[in-house]
Amino acid sequence: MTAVAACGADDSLCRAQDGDPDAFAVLVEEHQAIVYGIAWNFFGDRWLAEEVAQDVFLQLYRFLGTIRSRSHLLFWLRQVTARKCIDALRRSGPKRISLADVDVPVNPTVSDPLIARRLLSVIASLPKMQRIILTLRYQEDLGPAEIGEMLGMPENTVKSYLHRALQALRKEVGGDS
Amino acid sequence: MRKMMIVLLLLAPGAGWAQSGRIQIDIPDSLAARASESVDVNLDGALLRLAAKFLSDNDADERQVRDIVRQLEGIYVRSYEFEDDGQYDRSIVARLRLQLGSDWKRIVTVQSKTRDNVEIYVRPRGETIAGLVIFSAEPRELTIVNIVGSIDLDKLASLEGQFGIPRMGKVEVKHE
Amino acid sequence: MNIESELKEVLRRTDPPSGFGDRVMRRVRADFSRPAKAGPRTRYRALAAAALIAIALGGWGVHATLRARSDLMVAMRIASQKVAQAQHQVNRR
Repeated sequence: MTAVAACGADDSLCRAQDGDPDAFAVLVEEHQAIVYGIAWNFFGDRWLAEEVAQDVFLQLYRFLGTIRSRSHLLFWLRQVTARKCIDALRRSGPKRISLADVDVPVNPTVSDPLIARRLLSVIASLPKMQRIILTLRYQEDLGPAEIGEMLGMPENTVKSYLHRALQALRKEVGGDS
Repeated sequence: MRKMMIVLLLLAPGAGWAQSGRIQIDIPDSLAARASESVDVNLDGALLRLAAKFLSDNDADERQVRDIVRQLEGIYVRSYEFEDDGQYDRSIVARLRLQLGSDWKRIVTVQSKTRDNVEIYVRPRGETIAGLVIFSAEPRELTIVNIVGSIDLDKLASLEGQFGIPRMGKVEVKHE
Repeated sequence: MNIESELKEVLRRTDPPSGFGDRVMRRVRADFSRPAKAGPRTRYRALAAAALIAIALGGWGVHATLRARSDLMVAMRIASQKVAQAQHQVNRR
């Protein structure tokens, strides 16, 4: 029998893999802003974002034993969330809740809330691949190569989507190249 | 300018389906093909009951949906989103509306040149509702909802405030 | 305006509505008894559970049923949104 090293008290991933539900709850809390953020920025719909985010963590719970490290966990969460967003869009209902209709607080640190709302509105109208790539690029600060690996597409394809998305945004809201 | 009409409308007798609370939502393939996104839900009978059974009792939101679905016989949704304005023929709503016979009552009409045109019809059965049809036509979206069975409109509307979606304001549906 | 800077501002990580962690854990407790490590014993248990579920589903299949559940939530969301929207616009008259 192989001796298994005990998990450190601060190692929530290890403890969760050992079957500690409180440790899994800590993992959820540590990463919920990433997962929910990707879904929220993609859909602009809290119900859809929550549904996808919950599904991602449920799937994480199911496949916890396959996670090799913290960095792998981060990659896995981003990848699964992105893919679930794309898959869910077809079946989720086409209408994103308009920001004009609901009281969605724009991040209080943005320089101009009106521009922010306009940007979000335009982002909502972009095709889904442009939208998810924009979100991964600017929310998670990922480069085209990482995004390509995550979504299973060549780096140049990611760059092309990014270019088109930024072009569309500049056309709608202005801004320097 | 947005204008709003609330009327009771007596319609010509429609197809047999409509008498059961269900309408036939025939959407031309060409319309569906032009949509950039679409939703197509057909849940009735055993599959609806099975789906409801898989809703979690431990989740307040799903419990509320299960409570609403408990008395339903079918849920049918078609929803299409388009890239540009005017990509579908709005007369399709008029054609579908023809199925609604005199036992259907229009309880809400909202008309707007810039936003939703929404019509809500119910098929009363005594003190309850035996069927619900919603026609929603926006410049870039067409949605038809048909719910068969006893449905509580206020409970249905209140779901919109669940699931973390902000409420738009608790209001009454006015009947005339 | 530097659009990339603006995008970094608007596309930020966002916390979900309050209670999200609790809702996840409720589903975890409801759906699983213990974490599924990818070992043979767990796989066999999962297969047995899937077989029992398939029998209970009366032939629909796990995938079809989960899809139906998801469809149900989507349909209810769309219906509730339209009814609430209409109510709201009526009251704003």
